[in-house]
Amino acid sequence: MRQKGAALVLPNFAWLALFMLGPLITLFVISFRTYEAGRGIQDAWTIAHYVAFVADPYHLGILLRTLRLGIEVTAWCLVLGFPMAYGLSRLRGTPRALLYFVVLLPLLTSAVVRTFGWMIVLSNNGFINRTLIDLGVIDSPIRFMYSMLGIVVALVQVLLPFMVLALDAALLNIDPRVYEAARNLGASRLRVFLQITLPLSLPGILSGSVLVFTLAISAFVTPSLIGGPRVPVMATLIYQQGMSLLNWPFGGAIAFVMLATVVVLFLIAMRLARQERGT
Amino acid sequence: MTTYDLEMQGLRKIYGDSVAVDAVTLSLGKGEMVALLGPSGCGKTTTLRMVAGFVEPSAGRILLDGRDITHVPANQRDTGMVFQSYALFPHMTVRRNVAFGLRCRHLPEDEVRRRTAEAIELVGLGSFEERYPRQLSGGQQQRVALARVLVLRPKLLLFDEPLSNLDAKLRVQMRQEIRRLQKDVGITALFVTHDQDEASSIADRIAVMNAGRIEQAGTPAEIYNEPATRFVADFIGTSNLIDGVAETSGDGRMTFRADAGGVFAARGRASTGARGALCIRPEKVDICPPGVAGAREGIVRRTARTAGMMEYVVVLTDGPELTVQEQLRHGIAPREDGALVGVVLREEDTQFLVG
Ligand SMILES: Nc1ncnc2c1ncn2[C@@H]1O[C@H](COP(=O)(O)OP(=O)(O)O)[C@@H](O)[C@H]1O
Ligand SMILES: [Mg+2]
Repeated sequence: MRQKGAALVLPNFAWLALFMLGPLITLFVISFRTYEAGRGIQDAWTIAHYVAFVADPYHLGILLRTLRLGIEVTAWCLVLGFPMAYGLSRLRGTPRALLYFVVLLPLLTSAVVRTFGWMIVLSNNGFINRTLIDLGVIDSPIRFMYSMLGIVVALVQVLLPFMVLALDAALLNIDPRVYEAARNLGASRLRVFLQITLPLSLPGILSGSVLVFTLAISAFVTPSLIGGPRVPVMATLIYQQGMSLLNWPFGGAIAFVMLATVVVLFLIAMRLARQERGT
Repeated sequence: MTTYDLEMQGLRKIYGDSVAVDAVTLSLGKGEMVALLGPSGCGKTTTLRMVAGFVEPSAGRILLDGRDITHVPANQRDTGMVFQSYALFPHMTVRRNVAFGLRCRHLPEDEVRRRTAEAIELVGLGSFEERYPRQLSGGQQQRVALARVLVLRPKLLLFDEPLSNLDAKLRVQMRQEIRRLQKDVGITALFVTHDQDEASSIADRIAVMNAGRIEQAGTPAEIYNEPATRFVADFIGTSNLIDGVAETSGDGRMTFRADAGGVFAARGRASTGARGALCIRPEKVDICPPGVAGAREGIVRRTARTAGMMEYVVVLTDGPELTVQEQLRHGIAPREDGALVGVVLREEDTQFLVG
């Protein structure tokens, strides 16, 4: 049985090793090589790229902005996704299938098309600003384009499905009788939510948050089109170093700083989850 | 003050175009335990959930201690429900599960602690306070569910097949324990079950439900000895039901002509020509040698031995078939297949049921 299980994961594992672990290791090695403008990657070893990143407030600022972006997108996805997931988890049959499809809709368009769509909607002369100005709500347009706000709005839309599906899975796991038991014992709806629904859906909150956070901080198309050069994030910075300046060692170093940050955050989340389960 | 604690008046629940509960009227006296007994799908759970406030009735009223609670939210009804799946809070210890209701009532912390400890002690789980539900056996979880509602001293206890997830031996033990606890605290209780043994052993009265209606309510003995309808006679214990028509009637006695043949004296009232069935319990029929005065004759067709008892199917010379039980005693040999025997049907054990 165990051997059969191992055989089943083997193809996947080989694929991962070849096309993910391989490039990762190569890049890791490259990130410790020296680089000379015009002459490319050299054979000498150095940790200068890591030092350069950590010592430069400009780069650290981009790291912080990226983390802030991740936190904001995750928070909005949680706030908007929870009621949606709750409704979804309570439905059965065709209504559930329909809502499920609606939730998944944002994932069915390509990132580029979707982002251009958002650019039209969010621009100074776009749908939102024109409407608000015509209604007299605002005098001058809100700056969505080339700002964090625009990136957050566009990313929340596309990452919301991941949050909703993770929360839905956790909420489906809760026996509805448990809610009834709490009501029967005298709990108000608020108390049921705070003391029953919320703690019992914590595994979903954590897995959804980890997923959305990771996808948000590694998003490339949306920040580069909506944020542009004025609002660089880690992904666009790596792209600029690697593709535009061909400085692979520095680009690699930035990538690994980010990877390390994500891994640390992930470990903290796991620890929190274990504590909550009381083991 | 009324003498009833819980009154259900014409409760109905309609889902789409199907009637789940149809005009249920039932009253429970103070401290009384009433079992709602019926086959799966007959509307027991729906009735209970209307009383608890989880299902909005389509029609009818619910009174608890004289107060109309039909539209009171579930968390303000002062009922204590024990679920089939126990529905314990999986992320809380036994102590926090039991304290939950007290905390909802914003009682002082020392009172919460004292009453929680008492309730846990009451159900014999003193040493399991800090365990999580998943670390307990089914029986222990059931006790936690019980302590969780008893600690609140509610006006009414509601049980929805609380023992059906336990093994047979524990089931019998737990029903005695629930019975004892309920009598000790003196709280009125409604107990839903599909198991007639459970209903008979736990309840003061049984309400037999069929297809959304209560067919008969009475003590276990009344239900068994004087079933009011054909369904009750068939559902509770085993009965011989012989189809036929009423002939003459009066004074609570009547004669009955079976479709298969033969005329029988029976208890019951019916107008001449009314269709119905004769109900006779197998153990109320006496079997004797053929030719005894007042006995009918028949031929043994099938025999089956159960614990300490023989069961025969006797085809009467008149026509109808009867299942008959006979205790095995010393000196009495079991009847052979094909033997000619006499059977005695007493009028007081033979009841006519319309329908
Ligand atoms: N939420 C519901 N929606 C539609 N039909 C229901 C619902 N709940 C119960 N029913 C129907 O009502 C009838 C009675 O159900 P229930 O009260 O659960 O029966 P019991 O507890 O006696 O087995 C069944 O036919 C069931 O299918
Ligand atoms: Mg039921």
